Amino acid sequence: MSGKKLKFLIGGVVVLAAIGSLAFFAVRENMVYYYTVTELQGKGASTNVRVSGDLVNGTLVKGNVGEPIKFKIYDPADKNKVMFVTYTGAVPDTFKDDPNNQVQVVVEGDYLTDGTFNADFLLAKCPSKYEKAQADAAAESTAGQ
Amino acid sequence: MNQIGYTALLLVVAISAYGVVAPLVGVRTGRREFIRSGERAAYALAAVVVVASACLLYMLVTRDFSNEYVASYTSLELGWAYTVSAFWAGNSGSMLLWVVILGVFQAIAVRQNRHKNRELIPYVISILMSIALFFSLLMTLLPEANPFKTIPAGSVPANGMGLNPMLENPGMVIHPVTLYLGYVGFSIPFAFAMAALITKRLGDFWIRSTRRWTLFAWLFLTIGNIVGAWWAYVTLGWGGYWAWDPVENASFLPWLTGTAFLHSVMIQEKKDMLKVWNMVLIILTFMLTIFGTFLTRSGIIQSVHSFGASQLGEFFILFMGLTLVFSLTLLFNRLDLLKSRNELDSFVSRESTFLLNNLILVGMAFTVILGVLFPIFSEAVTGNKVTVGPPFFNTVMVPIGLLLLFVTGVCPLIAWRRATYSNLRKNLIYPVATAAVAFVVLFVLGVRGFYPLLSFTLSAFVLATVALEFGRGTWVRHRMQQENVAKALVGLTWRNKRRYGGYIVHVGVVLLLVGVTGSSAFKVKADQVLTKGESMKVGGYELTYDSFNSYDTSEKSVGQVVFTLKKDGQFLGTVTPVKEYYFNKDQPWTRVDRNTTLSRDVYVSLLEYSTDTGEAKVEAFINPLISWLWIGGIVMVIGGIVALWPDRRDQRRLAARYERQARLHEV
Repeated sequence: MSGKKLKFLIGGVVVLAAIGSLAFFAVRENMVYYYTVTELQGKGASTNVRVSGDLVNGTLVKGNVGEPIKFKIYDPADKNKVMFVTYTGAVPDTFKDDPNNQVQVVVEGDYLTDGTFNADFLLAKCPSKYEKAQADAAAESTAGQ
Repeated sequence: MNQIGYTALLLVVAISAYGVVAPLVGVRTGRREFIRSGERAAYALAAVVVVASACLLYMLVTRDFSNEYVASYTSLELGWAYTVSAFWAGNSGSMLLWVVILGVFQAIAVRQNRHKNRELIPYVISILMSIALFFSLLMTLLPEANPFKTIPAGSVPANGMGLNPMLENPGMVIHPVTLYLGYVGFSIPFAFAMAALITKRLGDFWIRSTRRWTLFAWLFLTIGNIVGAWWAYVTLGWGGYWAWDPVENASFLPWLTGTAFLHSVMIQEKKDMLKVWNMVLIILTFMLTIFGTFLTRSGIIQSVHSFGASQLGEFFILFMGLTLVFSLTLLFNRLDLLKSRNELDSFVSRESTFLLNNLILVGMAFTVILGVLFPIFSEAVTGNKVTVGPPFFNTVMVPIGLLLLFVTGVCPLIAWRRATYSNLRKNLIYPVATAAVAFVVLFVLGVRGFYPLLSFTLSAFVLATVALEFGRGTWVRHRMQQENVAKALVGLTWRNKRRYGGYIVHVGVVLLLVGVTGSSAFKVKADQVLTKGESMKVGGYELTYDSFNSYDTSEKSVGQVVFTLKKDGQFLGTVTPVKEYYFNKDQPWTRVDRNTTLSRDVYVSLLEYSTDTGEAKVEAFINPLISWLWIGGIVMVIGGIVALWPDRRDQRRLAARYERQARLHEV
């Protein structure tokens, strides 16, 4: 390899290494562990973590205007593992209790020693009502055969 | 109608399967009629998939609820524009959109090349047909991807499910289409690149033939990304426009590598260098367009945007894997044919700045991929799922973005091959002086943050270099052609649309970054619970809760709070954020309101309200300079259109070169 080519190769490697190190540093500084309810309860109190679970139907309590909302989530893999969550931020419009459906929730915040989760970030998604109705209809039709 | 549509899809499968094979047979056996047949198949495919799309469109407009897709995404009350846009509101419709765009683009490409690139065309068709085959097979074989699935009557409400109200926004009507035009647009240069590798015709003719496609695709990706950001800003109500959400990143990734490709092909055309790199870039860009389409369907990444988990993900991974193996093997095989005759001469040369531009853009792309896939990597490697959010992306993207901004400014000032010190000094003096003045002015005005100062100073630097380029060129033309300055400026730009269109795009990028810097570094947020008559302060402004109204329409129940906006006691206007409740969706929707000027947005969102107590929880933002983001976007698009505009001289030159090279058998 000529000297010139080597110079450029080194230059390129230096630039990429600089970007790479920046990325590495940024990951280290900003990574947020993502747990299931079971895993987090096993781990114990932690700050700045994410946990995902399904909303326990009927537990969503919205206080007065401006108060935090409270609800319980459970691990879809183990219905006995339940966690109590308080959320103090803006509630996304998509987040609501739906007795006919599983409401998937992802919250980020602190898991406290008393077993409650204090969330400052909430992400919720719900399968469309239509999918559930369709599944029911299909189940009914096969059951009838 | 469902039957016709589905049959049309089956025909698409058949024609694309034929189209994969026929041109290859033609090449193998030397029987040109098979190749011609392949070309006709391209036209046929376009016609049939347009018919299939017309069927879906017809069913949408007539609200034919026997079709599951129509029932899921429209309702009897939906306006016609949104009814049409429901075509791409869901998974299977958007896949059909992909195929219809691909079909039409393929037909155009075949027609464009009916007198040239004869050796490449059979392979181009074969490759494009393979892509069409993949998508159409998925739509016909997987029920969840079938846009023509029927459902028994009565399984949906009589007036349909209705479109997700978040999508009832003009931006959402065009955003998916523009993105898909961009995604699919890149398949054309990809197909040509692969054809060039296969046929070993590795001069830059394949690049020149697809240059407009690349620009076109880039332009629409740009539009798609910016419209998406605008939609997020005005509809989602969280006060921002970009959350580094996996799906946002999915459409940003091909834009990054596509921009890199757009620049590096200029080097190949001018200096016959970076041939292997260009191949890698177009393969990467194409893969990322498929990856972007896949990410919204796979369910592997948690996001508010994703369509949801489905089997589709596995097929997409398979397709991407096969494509990657195929293209990389081919590239590796032809590696020695891609050696260039020239070398990079010096670190301080225009070629080097282009290379640095590319390294930075690709570095950004890899950072974004890392951030998006980190949960999957970490879980695979350590067993723990770890996510990284906006702070990660910002920490990396801001510094390297600013470096890219610097390079953007410096590049036009540096000579090709090797810049001399005196040459550099002469070119840099005005832009650097402008930047210095800007720095001092900003400092005096009280701007002290490192990144904002750097960002604005570099922005001034880049604007100055562009002004210098336009200025010098205009002055020369003015003197030589005796035209007045205005005419000279337009003449200059029109004479070299690619170059000056490109500079206009750079100006747009700078304005966009000014908007980004202002609205990120100087954003002010406040939230408060108010009752009628109370006020809240946010960033020097005062919002007073004036009154509360509510009313019902056939679709929804609406609650709105009227705020009076004042600054230093001066009345500036009213802001009326709204909360809507759609009856058949059983869910509230927030519609924000803004007071917009060039210097800032006052953005108000109604989070909650109580009709009993009259209390309202309000979140208000001051987003300085954010209008420049949208203005910058528009300027970028204008620049792209200028660069894309047909150029008689260019076309004649290209045709002449083709003649020459055809004679030398180099095409």
